[in-house]
Amino acid sequence: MSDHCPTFETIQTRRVCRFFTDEPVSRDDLKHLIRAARWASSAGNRRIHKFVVVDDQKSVDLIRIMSPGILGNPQALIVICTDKEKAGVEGVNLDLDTTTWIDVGTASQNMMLAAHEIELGSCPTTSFSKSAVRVILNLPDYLEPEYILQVGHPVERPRSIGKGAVARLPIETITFWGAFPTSV
Amino acid sequence: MTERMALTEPEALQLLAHLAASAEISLVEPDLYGPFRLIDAASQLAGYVLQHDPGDRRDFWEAIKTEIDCKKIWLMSDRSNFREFLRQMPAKVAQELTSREEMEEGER
Repeated sequence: MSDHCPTFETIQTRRVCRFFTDEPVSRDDLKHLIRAARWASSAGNRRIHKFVVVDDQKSVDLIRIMSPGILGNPQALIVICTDKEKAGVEGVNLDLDTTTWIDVGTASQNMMLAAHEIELGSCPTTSFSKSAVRVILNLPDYLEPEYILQVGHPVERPRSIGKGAVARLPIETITFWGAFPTSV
Repeated sequence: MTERMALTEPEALQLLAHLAASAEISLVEPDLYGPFRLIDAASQLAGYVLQHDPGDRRDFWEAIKTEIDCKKIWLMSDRSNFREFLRQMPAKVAQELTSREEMEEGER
């Protein structure tokens, strides 16, 4: 395997960023993140998610107030919504089909990596009031807000949450190779 | 002891928003996140009080806010100490309450 693995380096150096400068995020940069999300894998290539980009500070602030999971001051938010009409057309059972959540995750990870690559910080958020976000963004009934990605220019801060959050689990403790032995 | 404005109505609305949203998401989040949301709201409250000049009690409010903001994130890295921090915090508030009671007793 080559020593030069830029994708892996991006994966390895990305960290969740919760605190941002006041510098706005350009629309070009936000479009870049959406392009990255667009290239994420999608179960059955069904593409049932929509992306609502929020970059006006008034709306960002209102969503922040209703989102206990947003601890800092993101300059932009990307809300991933399930398009329930599209899901219906595609025959997706949203109550049972967990692949829809995986699709939110793959899109989010693509955006976080793309953000890191262009020196933006990002933070995944699920701790927000769906009902409040629906009102603030005037979302139509067919769009269900599932997830918010916070985006901004990162503030350099010393990591204060202890090495436990930085350390990665040894591969041996999380990996099993092949079938488990059967008991005799 | 002077009674001072602790928070404005818009600030109270923001705190209400935080608490109501926390109640909603606590329906689905891990159990320990509920205490985190409450102590985070306490930090927010302390922040508002500090914005309105708590007079000679500033040290108390600053200390409380600083400690909460420093230790609340233990939720993500050190749950044992996070729980211990939650157990200890009410004692510090109680200490402030009792010392004020004693001061008021002395003034009577």
